[in-house]
Amino acid sequence: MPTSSKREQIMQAIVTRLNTTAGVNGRVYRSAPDPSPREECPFIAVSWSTENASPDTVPQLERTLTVSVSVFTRATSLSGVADSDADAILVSAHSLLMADTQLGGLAIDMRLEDADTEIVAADMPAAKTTHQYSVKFRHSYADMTN
Amino acid sequence: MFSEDIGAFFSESEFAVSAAFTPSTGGALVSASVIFNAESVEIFGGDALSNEYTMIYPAAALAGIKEGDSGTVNGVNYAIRDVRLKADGNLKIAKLAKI
Repeated sequence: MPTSSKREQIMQAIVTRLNTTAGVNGRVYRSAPDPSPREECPFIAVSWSTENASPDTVPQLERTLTVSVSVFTRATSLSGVADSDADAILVSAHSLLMADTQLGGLAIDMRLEDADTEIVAADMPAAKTTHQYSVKFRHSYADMTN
Repeated sequence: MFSEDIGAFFSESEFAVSAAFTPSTGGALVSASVIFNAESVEIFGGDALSNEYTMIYPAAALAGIKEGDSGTVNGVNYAIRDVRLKADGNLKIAKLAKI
């Protein structure tokens, strides 16, 4: 019997699946509060931002969780394109997540929503490229764990 | 009145170090004593860190250097990211990339 909320179980399942993403050598971090050193690049940061309710689902609450999968890359030369360096990593991560959009039965469905990127000069061109996923799931009125 | 002498701030027996760059537009290697800084800064709203390498030097020194030029500061290889005037224009600051 799980003791964590469905949301937390989903987040853990997503991080577990992303751990084998090509190109990051297992550097997948969850909701990191401190800045990651530049030497960590490329790496993935996973966090959730909102969880919206659809209260008309009876006898369970239907929820939509928004999860951000951000890839941080740093070019190796002044003419490098850091967001381009993130592309293969994001393709790999997406493939791993889409292999089981129900996350082993935790979710009803998961799909890719918006994507965005930020680029800064830094000491070499650096990029944070984010894919947002929406995860639909349900839990009972009384128990958030199932 | 007295004439300004900013050279006193760039003594290698104090805090300055030697820098030498070759202008990519041609010409000989140029060198000067510069104040070098290497500071970690937060980027992406604090999600990651980067190193901010800069050198400050008299505006008349290192003539002709510009973005993309490479050289050394205190014996370490760097490339110029950009060059800007600083303060009253008698100084310049160049942002560097470690290569």
